[in-house]
Amino acid sequence: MDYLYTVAILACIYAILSSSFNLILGLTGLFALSHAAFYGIGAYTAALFDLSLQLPFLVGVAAAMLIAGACSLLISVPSLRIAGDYLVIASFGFQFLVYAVFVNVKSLTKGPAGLPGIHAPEILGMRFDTPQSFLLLAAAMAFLAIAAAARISASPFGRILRGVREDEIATRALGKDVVRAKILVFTVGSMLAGGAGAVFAHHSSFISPDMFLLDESIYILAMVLVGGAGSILGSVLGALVLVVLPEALRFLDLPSVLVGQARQMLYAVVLLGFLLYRPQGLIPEWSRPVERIFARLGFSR
Amino acid sequence: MELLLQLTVNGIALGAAYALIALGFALVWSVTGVFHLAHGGVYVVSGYVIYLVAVQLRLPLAVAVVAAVAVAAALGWGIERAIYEPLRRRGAKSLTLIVSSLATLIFLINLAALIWGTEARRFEDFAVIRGRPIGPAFISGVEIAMIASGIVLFALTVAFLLYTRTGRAMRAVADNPAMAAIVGVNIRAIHSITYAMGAALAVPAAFLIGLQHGLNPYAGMFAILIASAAAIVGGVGSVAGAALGAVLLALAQNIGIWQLPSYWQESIAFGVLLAFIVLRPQGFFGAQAPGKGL
Repeated sequence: MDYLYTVAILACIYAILSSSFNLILGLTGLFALSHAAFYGIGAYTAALFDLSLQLPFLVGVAAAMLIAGACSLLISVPSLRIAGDYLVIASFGFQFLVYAVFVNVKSLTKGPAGLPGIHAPEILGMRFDTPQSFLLLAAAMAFLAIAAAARISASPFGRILRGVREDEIATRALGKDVVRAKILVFTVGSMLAGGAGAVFAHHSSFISPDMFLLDESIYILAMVLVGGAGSILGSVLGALVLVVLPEALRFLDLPSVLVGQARQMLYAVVLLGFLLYRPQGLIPEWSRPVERIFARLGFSR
Repeated sequence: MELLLQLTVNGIALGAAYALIALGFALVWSVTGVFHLAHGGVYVVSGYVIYLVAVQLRLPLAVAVVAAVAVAAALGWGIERAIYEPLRRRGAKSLTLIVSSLATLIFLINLAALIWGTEARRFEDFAVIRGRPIGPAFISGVEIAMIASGIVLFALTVAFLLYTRTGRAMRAVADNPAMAAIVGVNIRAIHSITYAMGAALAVPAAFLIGLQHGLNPYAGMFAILIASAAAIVGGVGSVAGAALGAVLLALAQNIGIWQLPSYWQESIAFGVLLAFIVLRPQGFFGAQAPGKGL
């Protein structure tokens, strides 16, 4: 039973990651390979705030978001001033850099051994130390993040972002500051990823550098594209599908050394299949039934 | 000082090998406009094909190299025909092409990991060339081969682009595909040739780097990071720039160890890249549209 709670908690964390990455990739059309790096930065920040500074959970979450957002400026400001492909490679390199920092700045991160013993979160005297209560907390955090992403997507700012994706020059001609919009959405997306990292650190109570590798960025990317680029609800569904689907591999009885590789290949094939045969994803960006539901909830576009 | 000289020699040799990977990447990027991350997967697979034929099947090295070139070229061509072309036909944007390329990279790397495992595979001794001292430093046989093959293949590629009919057609497609099509260039064929050629260029690099460091499936990630960073540092669309960029990145990495612990090597490459993006985004041979500097 606890296993089911763990899967559900992971689905919540990945829903935050995929809906925030969707703002960057799906809505704005910016391709980055660094979402896991910001996720990791958030996790390490929250872990250190808990372990070294003994500060409360929510302070750690706020710090994780701020530091992840600040780090994102390191790559977004230089590369987004120029053109699309520069962000690909800058974010790719950043992913390597962050790993090197996690592994090598041992005074802070304890290197490859990781940071064990992160405490269960506590808010206003309430402790979330059982799987059930943690699931509630994770679901609440996921709801807030998804609502924020949906709100951004439905806002006038969201329209500017779509404009950047569809026709950057036309958007600029309408007097919109395209570069500022791109940097802003990249920062917001990275902050949410940092928040997800904080939730993850407190959930697993142990973090290590190899939890935030490029593989993880690609996993999140696959969730966005499978769910439907540009559709926030799609990202949530994509996260659900891709968290649950690999669990099925457990029943295939593969030798345990091969599971990692088989899983990666599965993502790659699923991703290619979707790009070729259903590029709009499971829930397309402009899906009528979904739009009706969103309108009723006050998120009309 | 001796150490600095030694690191410079190592850096130039490694840079020459990187340059071959970057050359293929830059060629594809400028002619077809695809940010071909799967090139790193082709690089990994071709290294293992040499290992399979030369070490596991014990056939002569020449056979292994020919086999690897054939497999790499077929793979490059196959990726274009099976993935990029259908996507392009469906009106996919460049973002979609990058994602598909990344998925292909992941697929190939993990395929290699499934077949050959994640432990580094080492070649038995293929030391045909003897190493020799250069002043107080030493250059190994593999490093001599890296520099020699780097120079020869770079020169051949440039000559091919400048003086053959196909090479001129490639430059035409890079410059203006619509115009090239109007004057009768078969774009589809040119794209396929470009992918096959770019892939083949990665083979000697895969073999020589494999001789020095052993084969590891995940090295493909780093290889493509270096190759694409080199293409940006060199100037978008410039083949010569990409080669020069690769040498510069490898030198920076190696000379970096002089002052920094060696585990920061990969981060140094990122630092150089970031410095270029900030200070000189057009690269060495910049201020050109893609293809102009081919």
